[in-house]
Amino acid sequence: MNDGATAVPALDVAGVSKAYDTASGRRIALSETSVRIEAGEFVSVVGPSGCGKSTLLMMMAGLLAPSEGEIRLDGRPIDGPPPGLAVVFQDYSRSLFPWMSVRRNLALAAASDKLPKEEVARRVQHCLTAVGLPDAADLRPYQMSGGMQQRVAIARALMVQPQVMLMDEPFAAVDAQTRADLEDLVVRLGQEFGATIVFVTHDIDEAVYVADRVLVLAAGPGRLAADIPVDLGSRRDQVETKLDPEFARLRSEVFQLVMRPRAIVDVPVSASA
Amino acid sequence: MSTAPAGPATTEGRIARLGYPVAGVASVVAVWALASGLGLVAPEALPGPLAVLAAIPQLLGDGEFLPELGDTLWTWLVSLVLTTVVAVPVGLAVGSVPAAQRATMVAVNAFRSVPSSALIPIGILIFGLGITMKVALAVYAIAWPILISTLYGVASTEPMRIDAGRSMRWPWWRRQVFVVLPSALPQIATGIRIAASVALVVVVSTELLGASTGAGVVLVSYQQGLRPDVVYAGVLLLAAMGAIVYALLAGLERRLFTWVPHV
Repeated sequence: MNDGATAVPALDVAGVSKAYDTASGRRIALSETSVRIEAGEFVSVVGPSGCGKSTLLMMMAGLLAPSEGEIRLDGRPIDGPPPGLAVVFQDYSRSLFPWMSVRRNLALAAASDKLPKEEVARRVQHCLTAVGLPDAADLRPYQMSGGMQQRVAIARALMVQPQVMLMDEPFAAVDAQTRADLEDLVVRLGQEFGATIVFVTHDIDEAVYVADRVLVLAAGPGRLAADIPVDLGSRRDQVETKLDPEFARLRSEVFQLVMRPRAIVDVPVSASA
Repeated sequence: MSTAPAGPATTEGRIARLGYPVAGVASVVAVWALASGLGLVAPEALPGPLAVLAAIPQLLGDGEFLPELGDTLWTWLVSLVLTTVVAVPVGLAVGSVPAAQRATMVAVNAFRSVPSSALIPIGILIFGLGITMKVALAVYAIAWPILISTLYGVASTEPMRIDAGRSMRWPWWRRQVFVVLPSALPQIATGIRIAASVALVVVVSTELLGASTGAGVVLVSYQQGLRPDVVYAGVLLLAAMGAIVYALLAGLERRLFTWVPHV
């Protein structure tokens, strides 16, 4: 697979398909998809609903087994949730544990690593500080706003010091202002922690804004439609980056790829951006 | 009740919380007083509220009722604890295996449809007239609601939370202890609270229909002595016991399960 010169990719998706048997027959969620994600890359995945983007992410997480093909993490085939990989789920209110304090939610995330108590306590404080919630350890999730809860979910993912962080539409449930803050947070964390990040979203602006590379999936059946490098530099700013003509060109390109079937008929104006 | 954490602390809130229930009880008592005062029902069938109230000290002071009430409450407690200790772990184990859960549901619903009061004669034949029979019948009556609420509690566990546990590479037992059990606990507690009411009804029923000890036995003897006022006084006391335990359990649930939105 490797041509010798390049290192083993962080994530190597090799000919992966996923099909479900439903009452009305076999449904293909994702067909014959191959993609290599290098260590330290921030890759976002966009596509219309039903394109299999969440399915792909769940297979990367080892929570779902591919019907065909293989996904390798650092060269090792994934056959269950692997160490060194963390997931931030779509809905914080359904993924955090409300019966525990924030501290315990985080501490238990590292339970499988069997760390000494002091190290766990140190990491809890470090991760909470990293997401801007240094004083939240003793709160319960339901005592916090949605944006704060999703920060806790991100802090929980950081607890295992992941090489790879998978995020499944993590900001779909928060308001626009909070969303912008959280986008800047993950961009910063990706650089600070040096983790490889795969970020699934249905928001095209967001996909371009946060990533080094955008994977566009198409639906019916789900497949990889385009792989677009994002050359906006490592520093992102909600105002300046979005004024950058390159940002506008990229979002327009991605927009047309995602919306193509409808865009031609309904909104030809947007293509001229 | 004013110590309850839920509800606004305003005067208006307090009136709404206490006023309506008090008004409800007061109207029932008023209808009761009117019915017996106007002679709409025979005094042998339903004495007035004042007569029943006056009979309470007499019942409590007769030297017999209180120890027998103690026997009833003990039987009640033993049945509830015994059933909980057995049915909850069974429910958790069965609930975590989908096939076993489906198989169990059918059987449980069949057993549940047999009214336990219909089993009192059989219970007496097998276990005699003592506490064993009373406990056995109460356990039979409440095992099913507790088991079912446990199964539903397990089934209601949010799949995303189980996935979160899996992605953190938690072994099966850790997912059960930290995800499934806490998810199921509120429903299990509701099952136990409802079972507590049912168990009291069944224990007193066995005492009215043949058991040799318990508050119900004393009430039967007052009935045969043609003292309906004392019988009603006893019924009132037993109802109060049931209501107090129900309220205590409901309050405990609110304190323990702070993450569950309460209605």
